[in-house]
Amino acid sequence: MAFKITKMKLKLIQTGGFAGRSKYAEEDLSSHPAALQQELDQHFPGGNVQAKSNMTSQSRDAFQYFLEYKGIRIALNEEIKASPYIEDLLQRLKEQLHY
Amino acid sequence: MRLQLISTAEMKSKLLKSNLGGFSEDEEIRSRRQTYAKLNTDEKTLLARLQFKAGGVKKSTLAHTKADSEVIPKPSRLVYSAENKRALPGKLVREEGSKASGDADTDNVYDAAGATWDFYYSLFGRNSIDNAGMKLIQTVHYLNKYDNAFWDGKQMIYGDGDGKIFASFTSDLDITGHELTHGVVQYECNLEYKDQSGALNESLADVFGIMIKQKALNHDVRTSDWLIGENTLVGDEYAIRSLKSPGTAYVNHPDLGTDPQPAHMSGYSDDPSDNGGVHLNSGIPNHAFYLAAVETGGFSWEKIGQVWYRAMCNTDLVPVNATFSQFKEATLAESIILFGTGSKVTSAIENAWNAVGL
Repeated sequence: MAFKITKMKLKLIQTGGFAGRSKYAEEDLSSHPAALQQELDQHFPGGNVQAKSNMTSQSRDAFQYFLEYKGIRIALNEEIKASPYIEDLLQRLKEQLHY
Repeated sequence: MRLQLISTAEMKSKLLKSNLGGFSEDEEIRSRRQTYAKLNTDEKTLLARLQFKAGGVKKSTLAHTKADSEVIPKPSRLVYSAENKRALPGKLVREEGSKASGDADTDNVYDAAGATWDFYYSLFGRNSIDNAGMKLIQTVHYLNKYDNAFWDGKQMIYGDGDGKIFASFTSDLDITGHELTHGVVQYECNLEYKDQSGALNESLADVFGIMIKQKALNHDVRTSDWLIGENTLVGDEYAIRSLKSPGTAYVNHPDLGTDPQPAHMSGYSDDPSDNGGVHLNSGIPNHAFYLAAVETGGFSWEKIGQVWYRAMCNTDLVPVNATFSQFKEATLAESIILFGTGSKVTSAIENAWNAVGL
């Protein structure tokens, strides 16, 4: 019996901006401690979640950032940014996007 | 007798207008200030009344016209460098009236903000973003290889670009015009940045951005390229958006693919990752503006631009959550006021909106 092994990834997605372009950076979580995925599970609720903008009220053409994990996309928020397990990982992903 | 008086006043206003217009950018501003200084008190009062009527000065300014001879406004530009860091506004590198800094990005945005201020003042009597002399604050060299320019509600921010896909976002006058117009929208109809109102917000920024470029280059509707950001997106055959032909600004770009903007309501799409597709669906009202301007002919800012400006400022007809249809109705209403129901301009505007499916 063969098992399909799917790599668990966290994707940081950058959207909008003047050019309206979308791009992303991602990290394979398999080499990270299990606690990281447990932390992520708490931030990514099941079901169909509508990702909403995290842009400040009068910002125009600013980039927007979303996180995608297990097929669920949520806006990058302060709560996730403050998570100690996720902070360093996010920093690496941000650098790839020149964020 | 009364008719004669009105006629004289109108003649005088035309004379003043002809004396105070017709130059460009800084030279124009300097020349107008010199001309203004030569006016007598009554002429200054008349000018202030005209500016007030056009929305260029406040009522309080008008009341003190005779006491205060400094009625004619001027831009107040401040350019900072973030020195490739995040802190805003950064280090002051050029201020109003100072010599060129020698840094191309700094000097580009200084000049572009001057052209933008002058565009709004000379055509609409508008004194800066808030119509009350707001400082034009801009920061260049934001972060490292940052592929964007944006308005944060108080100031402009420009990245240097990665150098491969995007050059510096200070490379195009229309981008500065676009971002500063987001500020103007904020102080006028303040369109919500989502769905159709968000796409209208983006479209107004593009429409005024292209007019600012056309005026600076003295391009009419036939000679303009109608392209936004052609120097910012690297490659001679590429631009970021096209008002003439949305969806063709870049085709088969090795990194970006093909411009996804629709030119017609049949291509309208919701993109939740971009506030309902504000940078996509703006192609539809952008194209309507282009079609109306081309059918009318001449310089876009002379007639169609006047209509679009008045519509943008008409908060009765354009609420914060305005739809494309509501904006269409606002442009038609303003055109009827300015040019009449059966006029060529009103007809061109109606045809344009119909052609994009509205």
